[in-house]
Amino acid sequence: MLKLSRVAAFVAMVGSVVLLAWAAPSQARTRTYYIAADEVIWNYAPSGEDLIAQRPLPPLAPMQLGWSYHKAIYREYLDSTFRKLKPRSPEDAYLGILGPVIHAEVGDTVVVVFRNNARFPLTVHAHGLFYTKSSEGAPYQDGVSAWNKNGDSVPQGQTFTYTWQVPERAGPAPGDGSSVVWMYHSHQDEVGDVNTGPIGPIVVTAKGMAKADGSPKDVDREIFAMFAQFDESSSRYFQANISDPRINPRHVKPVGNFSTTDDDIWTINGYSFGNMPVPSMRVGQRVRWYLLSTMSDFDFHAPHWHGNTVVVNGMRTDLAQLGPMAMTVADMIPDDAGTWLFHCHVNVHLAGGMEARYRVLP
Amino acid sequence: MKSVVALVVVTIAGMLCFVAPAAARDRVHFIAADEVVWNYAPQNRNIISGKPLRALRPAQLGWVYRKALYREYTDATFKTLLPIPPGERYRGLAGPTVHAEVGDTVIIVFRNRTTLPLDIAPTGVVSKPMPTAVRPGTTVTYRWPVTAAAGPASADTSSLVWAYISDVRQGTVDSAGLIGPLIVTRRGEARADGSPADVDQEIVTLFSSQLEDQSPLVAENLQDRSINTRGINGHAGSFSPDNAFPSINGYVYGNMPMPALREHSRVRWYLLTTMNGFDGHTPTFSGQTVVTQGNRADAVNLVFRQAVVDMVPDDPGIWLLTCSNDIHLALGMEARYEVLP
Repeated sequence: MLKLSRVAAFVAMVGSVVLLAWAAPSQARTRTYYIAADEVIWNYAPSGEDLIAQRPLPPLAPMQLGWSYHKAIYREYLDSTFRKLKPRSPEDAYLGILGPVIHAEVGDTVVVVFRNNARFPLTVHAHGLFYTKSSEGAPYQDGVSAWNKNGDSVPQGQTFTYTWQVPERAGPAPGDGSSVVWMYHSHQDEVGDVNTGPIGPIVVTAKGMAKADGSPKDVDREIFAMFAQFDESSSRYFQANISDPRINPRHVKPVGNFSTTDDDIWTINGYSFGNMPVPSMRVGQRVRWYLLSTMSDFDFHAPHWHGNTVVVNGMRTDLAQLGPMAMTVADMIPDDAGTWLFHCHVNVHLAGGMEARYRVLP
Repeated sequence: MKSVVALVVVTIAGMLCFVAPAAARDRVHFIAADEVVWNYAPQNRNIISGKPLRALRPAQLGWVYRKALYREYTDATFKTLLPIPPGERYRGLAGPTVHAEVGDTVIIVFRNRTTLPLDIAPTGVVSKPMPTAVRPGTTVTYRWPVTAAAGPASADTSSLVWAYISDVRQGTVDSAGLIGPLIVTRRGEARADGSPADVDQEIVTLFSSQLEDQSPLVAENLQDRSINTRGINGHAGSFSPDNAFPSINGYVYGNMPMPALREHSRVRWYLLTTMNGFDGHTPTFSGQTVVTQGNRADAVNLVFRQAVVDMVPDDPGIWLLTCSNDIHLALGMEARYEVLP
């Protein structure tokens, strides 16, 4: 009996040391990002070709302006002067229209210094993270007086600093892996803003599971893919696009309420018909795909990987399921080298060019 | 050694006590299908934007329609409505909440007080007798034995939700409004009222595109000049889209009374939807996150299914609950909820 209790005491001691080490808080950080909404002319198919089929792009639909549109997108700068863009590495070029990836570990604070360089008011609204009303970035009748809501509408040329906490509830739940994905986007005029382009991803890693940069330790490569039906007739640049001959060389005129599907562009990270730069990874790497979608009426997608399988929610598959505003994680350990198709399996979307490629290096 | 034995005995006794089956209950509800004049926007304003409601669309009858709803009464005389607590007025169009613990039997005394042939048919459990059209003005009693097959599986939370609907003319009657929740709690995990013991507050929301052109009451609505005040012709080209109401519990543009939640309490949201071609919803919460199917989220893919969503609010204030499908949002599929400190 005595011996048993001695063993028990030893086990308990070792156990508590391990537990203490495990629970020892890693340094909670404040991660600051300098993000501007910049006006750009965005080309959904910059090569001018269908790179999947190796042929010219399909002819423009009757009411389609073209493949290039005025858009506003989030871009990262080095500091609060917003003079120098933070360069995006070649291996991240596939991110395309997506804003900078915001990483955080549970316990951190995220600060976004936001400069609005677009011609109309925009905001930054985060999903999942903890914000007070002043950092919500979404105007509506919420019983809060206007002085506490400066972040709800940032006019052109103005800067606003959003502060978001990253509590446990912003990170993985028991059924999740080591990290989860959220979206941030402008919510001044939600539907108009999202179709205009300012959208980006946030990754929250479980406490103790993050590298110094906030990304998960047990993942070698993170890939982000946003499946978006960009409805250009709902963009806040709709009129600007119609009246700009560079964008609308055929002088398409809006008829009635112009609610045609001709100006719906089917995209992954803002690219159609395989024009997304091809992200690469290596055989055997632990690759985490973060899948997002926007909020148009046909934003119901079935992302499908050729060549390799993934695990979603503990289940093996090669096809994920997204509805509007979806945020989903898929883990892949590629074992089949080559250049593979990654596309939406909904027929209309596929025909509309919602397809890309990824490359697995041996 | 003696103390060890005692400990074991106490432990086993405790476990037995825990798993001892609660007495299976008969849970009786008196539910009628009533014709009700329903207002999608009773506050007559866009509560989200603080502005007037949008103008009526060209062929829109208005914001008020005659609908058929399930409502609960105190007894078989169907004379007195069971009062809805003030804190649950948000339930709106959704039928009465029926709770059961696995092993119970739900007994529905159903009276059809409408002019239409209707019934009340559960999903998830087998009704005896099988529901068939109940003639207007008559009463039928149904028994719904709630077996383990209707209860939570191992990966489910302590309770789950099924819908009961009228399936006489499926696909049209749910646009009349005939749908309600059947909540089943795992055996041994329920309170006396059948609700899950590990949850402080339950909130039912119905995300539904109510298509008034498909309602079996569309002819009455067109003829009734107190509803069709502008004399709209039902053959108007845009009649169908102009009378579609993507709504939450039958409310649009924030007109749903706000559910009030307590900070740090355990709140379970049950999400229901109907199943017409204009349903395909993404309920999205601002201000808090939720856990659904073990995953952290703030948006739930709700396409032709039910969902259970757990929330422990930590951010006081008034927040949005919206559908992230832009067409639905533009048509007013948005509500608010409040977290009290």
